[in-house]
Amino acid sequence: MSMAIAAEGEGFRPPGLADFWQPYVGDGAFAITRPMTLMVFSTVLIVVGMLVVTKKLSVVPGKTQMATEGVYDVVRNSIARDLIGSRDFLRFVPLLFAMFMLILVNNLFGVIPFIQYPTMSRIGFPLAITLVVYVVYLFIGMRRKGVWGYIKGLIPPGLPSWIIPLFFFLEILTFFFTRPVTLALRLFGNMFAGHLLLLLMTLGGEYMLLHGGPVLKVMSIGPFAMNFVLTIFELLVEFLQAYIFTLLAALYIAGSLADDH
Amino acid sequence: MPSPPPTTPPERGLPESAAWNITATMMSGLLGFGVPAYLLARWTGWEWVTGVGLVLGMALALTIVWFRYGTYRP
Repeated sequence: MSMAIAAEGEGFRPPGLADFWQPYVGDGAFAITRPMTLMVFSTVLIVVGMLVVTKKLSVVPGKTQMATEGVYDVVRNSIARDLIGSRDFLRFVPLLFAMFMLILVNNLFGVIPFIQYPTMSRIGFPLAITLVVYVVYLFIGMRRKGVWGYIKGLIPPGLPSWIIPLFFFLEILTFFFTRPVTLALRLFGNMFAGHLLLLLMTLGGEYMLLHGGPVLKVMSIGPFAMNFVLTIFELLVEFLQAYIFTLLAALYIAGSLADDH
Repeated sequence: MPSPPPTTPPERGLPESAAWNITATMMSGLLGFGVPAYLLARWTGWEWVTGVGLVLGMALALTIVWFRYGTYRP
């Protein structure tokens, strides 16, 4: 904090939350912002991309088909089938694959030149996707076991009776609040913090190079080198977060389908 | 990477599931007892209530974790 203030005193403005608020049209709650535009763009990109790839499928796949099939294979087999089980998994593959692609493309926007904005660094987007997962896993759980059966299933059998109310309270809180909130916050936090770090390295390096004395100019190599390293790291995080989000969504769905919680 | 489908219910059987669910349960413990205790502490002026709530919540969350994931029940 004190460093930030000292830097500010010398004319450097450290990046912050305000840098993520980029309205294009209007202002306030109903503004059309950069992440909104990117979300629409990503959707169009995924739909067109998938249509183009799947239109000319061949037995001997080209590079694009191979990459797409690779991603699809991970979601279908490694996530959906392994977690949900071979009996029920197929009907959830479209949801999981769409979710994975949407999150992945929007995360990758964080490091793609000229776009450089991870959509998920605005909390509304991860929350909205989480809401879909939340409704799905509650709905299938309650349809399968009934509302009362689902809620009763939260308590494992064999507990001493005096602890049941306390157990029940915490399990309700976990299933209906903590799980969805942590799911959204994990994605948001990773994207927000990662991008903020990249911004700090870029702006800091630029400031040292353009406005600093000779020593600072030389030392600006540090932030720029770190920027490069962090960009690679960020790329890894972007893949990882899309994977983890989809994995957890599949786990929650699997939990609702399982006989015992 | 085809691998055999899980034979136990995912909530108990898969290590990935346990790790994430335990995190959620621990947070629930802290929030579920910590927040009411904090509010009670502010209302009554007894600051120690927050600490007791947090410890109780954590203890209960740990009990849940132990019961759900730490024991083998066929």
